[in-house]
This record gives sequence, structure tokens and C-alpha cells, in this order.
Amino acid sequence: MTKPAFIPSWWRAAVAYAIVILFYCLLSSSRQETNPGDRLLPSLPQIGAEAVESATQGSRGGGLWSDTWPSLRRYFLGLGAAALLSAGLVLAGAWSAGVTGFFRPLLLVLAKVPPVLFLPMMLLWAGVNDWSKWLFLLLAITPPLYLSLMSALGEQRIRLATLNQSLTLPRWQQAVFVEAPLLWPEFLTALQAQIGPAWLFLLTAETAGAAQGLGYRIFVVQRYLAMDTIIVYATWITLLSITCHWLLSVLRRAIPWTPA
Amino acid sequence: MDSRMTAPLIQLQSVSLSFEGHAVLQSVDLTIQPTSAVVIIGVSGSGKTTLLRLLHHELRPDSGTVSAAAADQSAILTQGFPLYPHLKAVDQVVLALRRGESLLDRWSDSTTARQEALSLLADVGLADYAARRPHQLSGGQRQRVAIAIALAMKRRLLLLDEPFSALDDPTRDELQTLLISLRESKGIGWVLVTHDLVEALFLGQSIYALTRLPGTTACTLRLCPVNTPLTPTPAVKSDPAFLRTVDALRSWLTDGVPLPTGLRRTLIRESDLAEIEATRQHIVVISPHLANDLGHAAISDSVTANLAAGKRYTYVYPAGNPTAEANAATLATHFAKFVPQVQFHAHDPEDPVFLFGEIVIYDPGTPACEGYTYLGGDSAMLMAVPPGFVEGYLAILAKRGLFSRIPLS
Repeated sequence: MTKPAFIPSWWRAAVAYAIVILFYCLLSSSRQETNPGDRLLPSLPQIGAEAVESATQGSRGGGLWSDTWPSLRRYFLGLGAAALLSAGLVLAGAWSAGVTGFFRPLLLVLAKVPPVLFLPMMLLWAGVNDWSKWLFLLLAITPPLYLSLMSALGEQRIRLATLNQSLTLPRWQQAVFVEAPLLWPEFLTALQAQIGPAWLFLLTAETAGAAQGLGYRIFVVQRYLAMDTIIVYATWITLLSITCHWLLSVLRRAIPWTPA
Repeated sequence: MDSRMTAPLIQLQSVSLSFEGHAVLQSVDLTIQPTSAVVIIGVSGSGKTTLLRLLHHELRPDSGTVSAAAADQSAILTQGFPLYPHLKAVDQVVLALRRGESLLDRWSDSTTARQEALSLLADVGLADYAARRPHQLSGGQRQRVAIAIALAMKRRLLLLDEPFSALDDPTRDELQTLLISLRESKGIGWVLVTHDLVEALFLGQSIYALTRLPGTTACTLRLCPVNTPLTPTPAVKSDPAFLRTVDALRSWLTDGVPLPTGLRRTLIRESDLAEIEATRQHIVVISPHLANDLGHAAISDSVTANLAAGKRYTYVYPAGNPTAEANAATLATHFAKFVPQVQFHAHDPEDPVFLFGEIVIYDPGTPACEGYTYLGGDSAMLMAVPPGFVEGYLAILAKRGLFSRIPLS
């Protein structure tokens, strides 16, 4: 009897990607055969050429970099503001139950509003500038982030109830020395979960009203059926998103008390 | 008389408790003195943990009273005593030390508290582990941190709910020895709940059993008629006489086999023998049969002679007994004029070992001492100790297997 061969997990993943790419290539080449000028399923070399062009000299009125910077600025300012606000509200809530009693019902309802509904309001109130994007991200990301942190706080309190009771720390000491540091890993995990939604909201906002940015560019080139540009941008945004995710993972693992 | 030493830390008086109509404890009386070493044994479901929670004021009795000398005297330690996962051992202790501080104070200089925390960790044998977080510590080390936290919180009584049951034997021995040394150095007492009879006999000066009352679901507390003065070394656990006591206690608990009188044993440290010899004129022999109307007649001629010669005596009487206390007060007034060298000491009636620098030897085989070990005694007597008494007495005890010289490790 022979031992079953060990297949490393990266290998299976590579096969999955290869199948998807191969499938795309087949579809693309069949379309290119019937119509060499087809724009809906560009071939891999076409996409590669477009990637090089948009990264080096820019194409169709924009460039990868000149679109990336404004988007990243909006993304990090919006996500950062939401993270700061929720962390602040949770810390204040850990300190005083009254704060939680005030904000929690509000955010519970806000979290139920489909975030895209905030977009037209923000555009009308703040105008077609960066403020509207930040505010939109803030309004869309803060409620779920806050609520998941509050529920993590509740679980943590149950887990440490015996110790908390026996030590009887003053409320503020408990919040500052125990609850806040212990929430760090949970905070980064919750933030990680919001990376995807935050991109979605940002791209939506840029589509609706902007003069620059990754989402705006995709929206514009869609009119010219520039699928090669769209694919390059989509891949680029995915890479950015994966990098954010990875950075947060590294940060989380660097915390000595992150549960294994 | 020092009332602080004799006031009980916690007292349960005819306490009964039931959960949802299901009687758990009934008519429980228990007095915990400072530095008490009390052990509670019993089958599972007999309410051992419930009793601890009553002592800790986490539960209120349905009837009876739970009185305490002061609030916040005790700390509960359980098997899985949690620690904050993010804090280093020293910071856990600092957190406990500075928990009363205000916002401004808390952010000021922390070196003093840190030093204190480090010295507390050294007290529990963790000097080299101060910078470790809980996940870097073993189970026994985490228990030590928990004890250091209790010390930082100035707790005088540890309520131990089977804290060592998940530990291996050497670690358990180390922690038990740590408890005994903390009791000697800092006067920390404990109420230990355990089902391990070896542990019970090793750590208990008074051992109580929670036994079911016939015809009910409730348990009540009975003092086990066995006396085990604390010994400082785990070596005693392999002592044949000690093991016989464990077996006898087990038969008494499970089958109600009466404990033989000879099982009440006195274990004295080798190092103490010289001191016993040297100070034998101070030795007090407790006798419970002295009537409550104690008078001069009860003091033997040799005592009178010794008193006249200026020898020091200690008059021991059971704490919490109004008659004995009144008698002691009368005698104190009387003695103050003629024999001021006589000291008075109200003694925990549950604790047959005298802990205040003098050593009590009592012969369990002598009828005069019998009652005391059963808590039946309510008074004490002064008795002369003839020269050579100690050596002869110990020789007899050793012959009967009641006394072992335990070498200190």
C-alpha cells in the first residue's frame, strides 16, 4: 500500500486560481476569434499592457497612482475616523454605563439603515468633495464596529466576572487597565471585518460624485467599455484590501495577549 | 487581653440555606478566627462551595446569622482562578495594590507599588517570574500569583475551593508548604474545601465534615474528632501514623467507624524540642474538666510553689465562653496583685495548638484532656510540669505511635 501523497494547501489554491484564469482565457479567446475588436473580455496580454500603461503614463484621462492617492486618503481618513469614534464610545461606555445607555440605542438603529441611503444625504449636505466621503464612511462603518466591540466587551465581562468581582476595581480603572487593553485584539478583528465594506462604500461614493479616485475612474471608463482598465483597477483594489487585512493581522498577532 | 486577636474573623450561627426549596445547609455553626486553618471535607454536592460563598458574603442564609469582624477580609481562590490575560504577574499585583487610588494618584509614580508587588511575588516564590503573562506561567505559578493578589488586597483569610486539585503532587506540596509558611510569617489563615483527606490532614488544624442530616437533603457541619497540628514539611505525608489517621478518618466519614482515641496525635518539630525543654516551666497543659467555678482549689500546690518562685505561666481559657471569660477576669484581677508574671490567653477552642510562642502538649489518652479535643471543654487549668516531663511524655507518645520527630527539610 502506498502512502497518500501530501498535497500542500497553497498548491490546491494555485490550482483553483489557475482554473479560473484558464476559464477566462478560453472565453476571452473564443470571443476574440469571432471579433478581434471585442472589448468585453480582453485577453491577458491586453490587460497586462493596460496595467503597465496606467501605472506608468496613465491612460484615458487618469492614472493608477493619481487615482489611488485620493482614494486611499479618503479610505483611511474615513475608516480611521470610524475606528476612533467607535473605540472612544466603547471606552467611554466601559467607563460609564450611562454613556452606553445613551449611544447604544442610537447606533443600534443606525446599523439597521442600509448605509447607501446616507450617500445622497452626505452629497447634498457636504457637497461633491472629500468631506462627503469621510462622513459617509463614518456613518456607515461606525455602527457595526461599535456594536461588535460592545458585544465583545459584554462577553469579556462575563468571562472575567469572578476576577472582576474579587478585585472590585473602580469602574474607571477597570475600563482603562483591564477592558480597553483586552479589547485590542477584538478591535483589530472587528476593523478587519470592515475593510471590505469600507471599500464598497468608498467606491460607491466615488461613483456617485467625485472628480478623481479609483471608483470614479471605473465608473467613467465603463462608458467606453474599457474592461481592461476595469479589470486592472479591480485587481489593484483587491490587492490594497488584502494588504490592509494582512497589516491588521500582523498588528493583532504582535499583541502579546491575543488568544492563539 | 488582646481582643483583636480573639475576635472571630467570621462567624456562622445556626445557618440554613436552601436553593429553590431544596435544603442544602442546615444548622451550620462555624467560627473562623484570625490565622485559622480550617478544612472542610464532604462528598460532592454536600454544599462545600456554598459554605465558602456564605463565608465570602456572596450568599445570604435563609436563617441564622453570618457575622464578620470587617468586610473584605477574605479572598476566594478556586481551581481555575482566572488572571487578567494581558497583564504581567507584577502588573496583576500592582493593579490590586493600587485599586483604591484616584485618577490623578494612579498616574503618578508607581515605583513604590512596583517594589511592593515584586516583594509580594518574592513572598510567594515568584521573584523570577514577575515579567511573565498568565499564559507563560504554569498552573501552580498562576495560583501563586492569585495568592500574591490576595496578599496585595490585605486579605487575612483565604477561602480555598479545591485550588490544588488539578496540580501534580510536587506542585501541590509546594503550594501547601507556601500556605503554611504564609500563615507563620504573615498570619494568613484559610478555610480549605477539599475532598483529599491527605491534604485535609496536612493543612487542617480543625477539620470539619459536611454530613447529610438523616431524612433530609441538607448537610450540616461536624467537627472531625481528629487533631492535626500543622506541620511544616510534606514529609509527614509518608509518616505511617499520619497515613493511619487518614485511613481512620476515611472510615469515620464513609462508614461512621468511630475514631480511636489514640489517633489524636501531636506532631512537634524536631527544632522545637530543645525549646520545649528549655521553656518547660512555661508549658501549659490544657484541661477541659476544670469546672466553670474555677477557684484557688483548682491550682495545684506545685503551681502555687512555682508561682511563688516567680516562674512564668500562661492561663489558657476558651475564647467566646462567657463563664470562662468571667473567671479569667476575676483571676486576672487577683493575680495582678500577687503573681504578675501570669499571662492570660483566650484561646480558640477549635485550635488545640497554642501559637503564641509557647507550646501546648496535651495527652489525648488522659481523660482530663479528652473533652477538649471534642470542643466539649469550656475551661482550662494551670498545671505544674515536673522536670523531665516533656522527654518522658514524648517517649510514651512515640511508643504509641502518636508522635513522630519530623526532620525539617
